[in-house]
Amino acid sequence: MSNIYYSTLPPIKDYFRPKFVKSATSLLTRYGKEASVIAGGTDLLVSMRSRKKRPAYLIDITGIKNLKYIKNSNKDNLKIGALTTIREIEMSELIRKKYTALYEAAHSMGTIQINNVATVGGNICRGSPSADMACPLCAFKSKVKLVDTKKSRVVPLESFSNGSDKTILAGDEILTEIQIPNLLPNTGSAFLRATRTAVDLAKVNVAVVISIENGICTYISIVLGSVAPTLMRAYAAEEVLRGKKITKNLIEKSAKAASDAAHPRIGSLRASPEYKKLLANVLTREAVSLAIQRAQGKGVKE
Amino acid sequence: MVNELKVVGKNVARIGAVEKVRGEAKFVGDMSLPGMLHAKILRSPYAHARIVNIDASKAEKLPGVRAVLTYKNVPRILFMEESAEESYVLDDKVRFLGDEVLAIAADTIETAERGLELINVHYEELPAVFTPEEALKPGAPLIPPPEVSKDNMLVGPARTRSRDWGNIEEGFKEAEHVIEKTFTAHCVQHMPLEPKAFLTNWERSKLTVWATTQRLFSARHCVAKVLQMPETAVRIISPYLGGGFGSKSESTRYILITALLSKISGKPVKLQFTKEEDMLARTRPANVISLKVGYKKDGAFTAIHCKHTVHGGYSWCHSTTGTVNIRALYKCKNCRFEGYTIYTNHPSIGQMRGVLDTFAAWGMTSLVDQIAESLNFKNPMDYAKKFHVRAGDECGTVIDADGVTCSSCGLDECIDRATKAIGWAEKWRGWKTPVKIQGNKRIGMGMAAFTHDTGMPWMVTGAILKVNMDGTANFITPVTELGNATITTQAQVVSEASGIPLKDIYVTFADTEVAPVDPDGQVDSSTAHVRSISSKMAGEDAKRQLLERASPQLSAPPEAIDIVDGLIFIKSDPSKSITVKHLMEQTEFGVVPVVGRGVSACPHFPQKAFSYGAHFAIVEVDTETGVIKILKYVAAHDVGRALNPLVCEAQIQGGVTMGISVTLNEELLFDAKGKTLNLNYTDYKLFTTVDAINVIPIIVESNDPISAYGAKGFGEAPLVGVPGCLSNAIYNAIGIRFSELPITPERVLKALKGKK
Amino acid sequence: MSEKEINLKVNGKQYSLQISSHKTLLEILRDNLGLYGVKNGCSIGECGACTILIDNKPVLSCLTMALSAEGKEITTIEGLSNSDKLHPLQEAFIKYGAVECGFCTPGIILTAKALLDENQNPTEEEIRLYLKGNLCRCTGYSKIVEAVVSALKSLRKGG
Repeated sequence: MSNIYYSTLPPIKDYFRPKFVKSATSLLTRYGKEASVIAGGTDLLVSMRSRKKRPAYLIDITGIKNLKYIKNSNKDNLKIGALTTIREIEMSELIRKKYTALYEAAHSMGTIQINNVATVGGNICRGSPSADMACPLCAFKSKVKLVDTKKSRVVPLESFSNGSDKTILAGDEILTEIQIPNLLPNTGSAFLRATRTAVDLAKVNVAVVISIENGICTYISIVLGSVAPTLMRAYAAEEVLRGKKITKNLIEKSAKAASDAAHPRIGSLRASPEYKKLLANVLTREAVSLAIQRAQGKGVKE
Repeated sequence: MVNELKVVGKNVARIGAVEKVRGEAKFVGDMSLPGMLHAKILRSPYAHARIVNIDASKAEKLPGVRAVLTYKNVPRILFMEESAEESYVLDDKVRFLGDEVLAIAADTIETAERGLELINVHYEELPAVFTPEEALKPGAPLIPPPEVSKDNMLVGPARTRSRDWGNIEEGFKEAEHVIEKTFTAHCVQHMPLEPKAFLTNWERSKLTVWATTQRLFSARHCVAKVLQMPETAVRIISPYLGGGFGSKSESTRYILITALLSKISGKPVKLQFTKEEDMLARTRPANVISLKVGYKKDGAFTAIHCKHTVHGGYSWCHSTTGTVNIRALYKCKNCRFEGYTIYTNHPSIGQMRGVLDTFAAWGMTSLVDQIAESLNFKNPMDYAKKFHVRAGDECGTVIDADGVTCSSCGLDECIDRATKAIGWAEKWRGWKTPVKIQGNKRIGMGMAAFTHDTGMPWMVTGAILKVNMDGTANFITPVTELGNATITTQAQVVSEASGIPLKDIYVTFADTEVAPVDPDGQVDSSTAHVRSISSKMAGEDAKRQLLERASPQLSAPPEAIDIVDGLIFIKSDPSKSITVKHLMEQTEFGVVPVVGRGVSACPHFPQKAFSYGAHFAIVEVDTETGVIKILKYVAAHDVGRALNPLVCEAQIQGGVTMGISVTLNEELLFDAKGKTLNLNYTDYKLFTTVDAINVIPIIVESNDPISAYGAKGFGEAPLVGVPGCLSNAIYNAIGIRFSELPITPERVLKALKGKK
Repeated sequence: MSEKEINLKVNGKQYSLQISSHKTLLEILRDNLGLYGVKNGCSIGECGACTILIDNKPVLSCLTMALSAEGKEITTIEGLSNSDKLHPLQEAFIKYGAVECGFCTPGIILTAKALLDENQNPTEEEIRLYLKGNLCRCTGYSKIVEAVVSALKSLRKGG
């Protein structure tokens, strides 16, 4: 097949702007595989231009009201509407103070232009192994609410992506909400990403959430991106710290365990597998150290 | 003399800046004509293949498709851009993955793309070669057309470009020390923001082209040749261009494709490259430079042998060693320069800012640093200060006449001022001693003193200044405006020379219909030097005519009169004056129009000008991750005379930033089948505002005696100095001298590991 | 191929257009409305040359479906200045030599405008961070940053 570098998007059969989730899911049910949901469009349009994706029907969900919010309810979780943009998350004082890793992800990824329209729901639904928002959200043990015409279900974000750029989202479902469980007291978090230049997909990204009580780690969650077909929970790295008294030695041991667990693919244009494993070690060490400082009330982002 | 200049040397606002900030400046992609068709190109999926058959029948039947161009209906006439190889517009062979196979013109872009999808091409895949060794093996598949070359090596007038001076064997015998090193650089791309675009229109057998090209006249010549028309029937215009850096030097093929589509369809046609296509169009070749130098124990060179091999896709433009200016940097009686261009099945290669001098400079400045260290020079720049070529020294390179001497050299001042600006004395702690060590981070500093061309000896150009009935003037110049303010600085020159205020001068630029012939175009940092001479001449010619015309009015001989800022006055009694406007408004029998004419050739004998520079940098190397950060960068350049200091600063800062990005970060990657893997901004990264630092520019003026107002060109030099400067600074930080570009974090770590 | 009618408000003016549904806002602004100040540098949202303001926020018009822009306030570079008077950013870019080839200029000026509307006192670091989505290959960015800093002072004075 000869190569064509397209200047245009592929023609589509129709473009919808539903006002309600139910209308959107009905359209998905109706058009099935031929339809694609579009929110910010920053991923989808690139795939369409290269003809990797050719949806015949676009369902623009940005017009749906009440999917943009950051709510700290009285119950046991923080709720974020799926259409909340990356920029809105970055500008949220609540998120910056309490869920610092999520703020740091929103702050360091993308560009102002992209982040003004890209949504947290879109970032998660792409299912990329380097998803910058999904990484800390996973570390916070978030859940996502998936809705179709008949029912809704809430699933752990950790099991949402089941392969590189693949998710368990059914063809007629829309992700509407992210739920983050409340944090233990004395919890700190951090997110770091390594790139070639300031605007780049991550070579490696890491999110750490840690709770410290009297110098002992009472809660730990470490998630790495870009080192496996999906975001990776570094269980062994967590084990090194869980329930233990934090020492510099343990932090280094934990970082090494994270690096050992990382199994990046060959062929990334950004970094070789060996270099990614090295970065996994360095970034985990740095992120754990930062998270600990914040858990202990030092170096909180004002 | 220096203080008397009124326009040259001033920070006048760029011509076109107002239009650009308003979004009103028209680039080729912004232009359209009634009835215009849109062109798209079908590209090869193979790195090397013969086209056995093209079935375009379905596409031709698609409503809205108006023309299809293949090798079958394209004139089979070879053309050669400048000193490149000859090639065909379209051939029955493809030579790299992405090579042009066919072009289509249709009513809409969508229809053109749909048409391409309906084309069926039967390829016969041929074995491909991807390294110079493979390409030169006996029996290797031949890449150029057999009628052009019998092997995969450059055949045109630039073949090898080898030259000897003195006796190289004797030179090495004389030497008390000999060192030899090989430097390798990978393929990169210019990445101007504006992708190429072309708009062609035929009207009564006359072709007009609006093109993103830096070389209008060369393109016109080739287009006329291939279309078998006189040059008068081809008009090429280049409006504002969105950056070039050399990538818009070889646009003839695309002009021809668009023109032929236009001819077949009978309509104007626009060809707009996507960014991917623009990246494929021309790349800077991968190259290997071997340097062997012999020197005495005081450091003086006795022999320099430079062997430069460049490889990449057919066809390459320009010589290899033609732009290797080592002999204008250091004195050496015995030299041998050899240059080879070898073809592989990669995208076509072309010239990029600094051309091969970037690598020659890198190699030499690295070796000089090494020599200075081994001979216990206190500071690296002490070597350059002692041995560099000075004004009056013999200095020619491969393309220069024998015995040519250097016209001016401000390198000492560059070095001295940059030494101070970087804070050398306070920070330098000696060879192999980093400036500072903080945990895993090591901070080092280094420098490079280097040179580059400012015009090729065969360049010729011209300019015209015609004064209007109201005293304003039209300045007609072949210069293109790539963003380097060339039309502004040339207007400043002509304004200074004529006495007509800049605000009264309108510049018509880059139009082959009206501008004097300038075969080489906007390349090789030539404008400030070569074109200023003809611009000045045109201004002075117009002035002379105005003075003669004013003489009877003021009752004074022309020698006694002057023009400044639009006012013609008697020098000894300025109250006696007449404005240019008033003078021109007067109509009398027999008073002929004022047309100032200037023509110039690049000064090349007995003296030649070179663009000198000295860069100093402080870098931080993270030995754990290999990441390199630039902490401070000072770039001092001898520009002869700054026609517009603000423009000079911007060029220096832009060139250095591009250089840093290219040195640390940029590389085109190919897979085993020759596919370019990073053909977009997502995967080929440029420095952003966050990555770039504030480069400190220093302007040095050596007042070159063979230039107009002393000005030399220097658009490329800021990039040329970067790899050497950074390599030397990195050496100070971590004790490793890199000889492979780019210096990525992974290469740094690999080298550090190897060191242990 | 689906076609739809759309009402767009661009630079304060209302337009009623019949367009193909797959068109991006970039294509409509340039090809239908003749606003060529909006540049197409890459079509994949990486270079920032196509930046426009939608409801005063910088977005990439190459990654915006035209149909999604209905009912929003769109500002292109052409809408930044009234008649002959230039916006302080435009003046500063000229004065500080921040305009070279001019291709990135419209996008970067609009992004800078959004920054200065949002943050009346950005540091140089914040300016660079905000502009990181706008690539420039000519200037090395220093003069662009200087121009933004100068425009900031000018806007504070009420220029």
